[in-house]
Amino acid sequence: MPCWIALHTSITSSERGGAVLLEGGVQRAVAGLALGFTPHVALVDEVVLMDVTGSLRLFGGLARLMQRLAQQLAEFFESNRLVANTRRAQGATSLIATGRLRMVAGANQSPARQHSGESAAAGSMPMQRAPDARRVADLPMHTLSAALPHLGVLERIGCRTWGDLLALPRDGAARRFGAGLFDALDRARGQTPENHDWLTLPEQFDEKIELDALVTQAPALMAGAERLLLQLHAWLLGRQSGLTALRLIWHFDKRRDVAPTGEFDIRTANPAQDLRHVARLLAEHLAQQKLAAPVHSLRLQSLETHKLADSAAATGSLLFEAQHAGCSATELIERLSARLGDASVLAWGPQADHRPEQMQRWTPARGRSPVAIKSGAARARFGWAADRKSSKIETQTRFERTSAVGRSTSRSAQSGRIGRGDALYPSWLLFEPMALATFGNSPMYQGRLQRLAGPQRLEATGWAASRSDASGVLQSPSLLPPGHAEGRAEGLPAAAACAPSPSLLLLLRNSEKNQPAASAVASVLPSQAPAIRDYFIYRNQQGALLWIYRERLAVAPVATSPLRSWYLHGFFA
Amino acid sequence: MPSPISLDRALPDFANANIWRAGELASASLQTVDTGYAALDQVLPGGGWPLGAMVEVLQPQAGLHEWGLVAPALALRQAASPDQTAGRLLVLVGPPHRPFGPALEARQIAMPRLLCVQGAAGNAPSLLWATRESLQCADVAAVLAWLPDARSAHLRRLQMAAHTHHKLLFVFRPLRAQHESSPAPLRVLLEGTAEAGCNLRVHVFKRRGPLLGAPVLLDTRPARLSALLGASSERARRQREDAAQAASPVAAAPGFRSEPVSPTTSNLPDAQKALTHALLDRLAHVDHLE
Repeated sequence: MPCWIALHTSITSSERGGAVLLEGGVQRAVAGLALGFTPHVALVDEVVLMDVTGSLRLFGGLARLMQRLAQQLAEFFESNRLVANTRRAQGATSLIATGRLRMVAGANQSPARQHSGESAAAGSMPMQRAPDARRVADLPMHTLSAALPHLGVLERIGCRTWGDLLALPRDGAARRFGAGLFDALDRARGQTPENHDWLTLPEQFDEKIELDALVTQAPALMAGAERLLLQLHAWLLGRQSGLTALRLIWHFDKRRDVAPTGEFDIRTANPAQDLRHVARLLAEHLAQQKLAAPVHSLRLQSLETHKLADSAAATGSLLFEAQHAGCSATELIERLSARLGDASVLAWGPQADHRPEQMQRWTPARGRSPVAIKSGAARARFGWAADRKSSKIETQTRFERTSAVGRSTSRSAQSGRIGRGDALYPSWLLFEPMALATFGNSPMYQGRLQRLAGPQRLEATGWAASRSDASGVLQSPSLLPPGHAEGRAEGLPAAAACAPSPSLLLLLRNSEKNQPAASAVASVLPSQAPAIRDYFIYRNQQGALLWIYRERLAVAPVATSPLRSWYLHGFFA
Repeated sequence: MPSPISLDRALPDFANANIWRAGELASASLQTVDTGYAALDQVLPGGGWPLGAMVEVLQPQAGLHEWGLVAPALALRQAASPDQTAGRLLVLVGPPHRPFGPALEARQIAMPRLLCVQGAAGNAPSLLWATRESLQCADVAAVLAWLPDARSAHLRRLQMAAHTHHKLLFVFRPLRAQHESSPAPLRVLLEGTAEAGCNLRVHVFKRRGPLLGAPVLLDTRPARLSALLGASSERARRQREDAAQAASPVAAAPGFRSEPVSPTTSNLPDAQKALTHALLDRLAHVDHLE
């Protein structure tokens, strides 16, 4: 039994700041949404028609399909801050559905979606009857588009409903009114097949709008961009895809020395159908953009999209709290990077090295895989989706990937990493070691300092160069040949352990006897002279503990600079 | 004249902890995180750092004592069970120096889940914005913000954001903010001390409760560091003793030693002992004198 749904949406109001959309845009947006339910969607007059005959089984019945449709429409309009009034009607053919919709609109019934136009067809559909339900034969004449030119004449001859028109002698009426009217009636009764121009969505989204006025400030472009984003959202819903990259292009007025267009790209890590996050990133970029000339039109292109296995899974889990708890870590990082710059938002990475400043690496957080900053919430989110939809491949692989990685990161955390923590290091490290003035032979930092703990020696080459550029030669610590270290006595073997884990006993003994606690001589470029640092712990007059080293260079870089100098390297917070 | 009855009996609905009387420490209605120091837990309302409220920490210079104070609570927060939806990201906004991974890992802070946000150069409002954005994120467990130029009006918005999203927020400001009013329900002043066994003096000068008379003394150094410093000070004391003994003509008992020392030095006469010690301490002193 064929089944058609007719939809009509009107924007009753939009909140301040919501997207402003014309009638045609709304219709296209709703059509895009409808494409998520059936491939047969057509725009006829002001109505969106959906042929859901083939989709009823998949969605579990007409009632459930209507419910999901209503829910998706509500979410779509709510996410774009619009208040919309949607009327639906259903019928065995497209014209019946359209007719019922118009009848409802004309009769000014309450716009509650549950009761709009769901009247029984001619006996075959088990529908609930609306209060003044009509049979198809009782639909008024003005609801049939083909009858509109002849409405006056039909009124005067007493033809007010479709049944009356059917009762007219066919050949005479066809001669009088033309064949089109009866063709329409035949289509409405299902006796001739109907064909429409089915709506198809393009492969790439590429829309352009003309702005109402010339725009000189970049943040004012946001209003136009929001209209485009609305259409993009509908397009994504229709194609059941998520967006990961888009490009905004603006066209300047013709000026002699200015390029005709300007553009930028926005990229996100997770494919998104809900474009609120993308809109915020867009706003951030526009706030920092300068326009060389007034802009008269905007264009939005989608660069990368990914098919989503299930659009419901893409928007999150069933848990209300998980859906509305706020953004996720990746979105936060993208937003912070958009305003402050990629180099301002940094994440930590360990490195295997014995030099303190090379033991860690701060890299921009945005480029790192979401795995590194994965949280339990994301795992829980995908866990629900995977449990619900066992056949959705993409969601499942995503869940498996995150859960596997989550397990591996927790395992690695427990099994120990390179440079596992050592409490004898300071909690803060200065960006650059700070040269200190000396008083007599001891360093000075905001007053006199008192030495608390004795020297710990670190020796490596490449430090004189590595202070200016952080990528020093990677040193591999090796066993120290017995006679090599300076100042040894009594044949005690020097510690071969790396600096990261000197034992307490070793340090105690060494601080008593002043042996070098850990020396690592690297296999080096012969041109770089070894630099020796002795680290001390000092206390200043405010009671804070400072990590200060004394550097002894074998060869002075500049002839007049001292060979031995004090530097402040860190604070024990 | 009716006998006065207690408020709890007269109005039984109010007997629960939702009423805070100004003379008491507010306790059960607050959700708190254990600070890790028993002495501090006793003086804080609720027995710990309050969740969903801003904790303002004043110190003379940024970067001296923060980690010692907040690291145990942050480690607890980050180790929250993965079943909860609150994530484990820790955000530092505008830190004065770079956090050093190995040292913080020894304090059980998970470094891969630490995010370091430097503000745009010379742009204080960007730090405030970054703090507020971080508070609004669901995956963030705690936010530490260094805001030397913030005003109380801006802090009010941060306090509201922390309250709405129920996050742990620490704001570090300089000492001159002590005399300004602030919307934070808990304000703390840090001072380093050199007293025996403690390195931090904490004045809690604003809290939901009566004024705290005396500052709280804490030892926030990790145990290994304290042991090292103790051993070093012991050694320095022994050196001074030996130097004093070498100066005076009294002979030291040959078997007197308090730490394990190579047996070769214990049987030498005093002058040679002093010389040996001088040899052993050569590096430090030689560097010192040059």
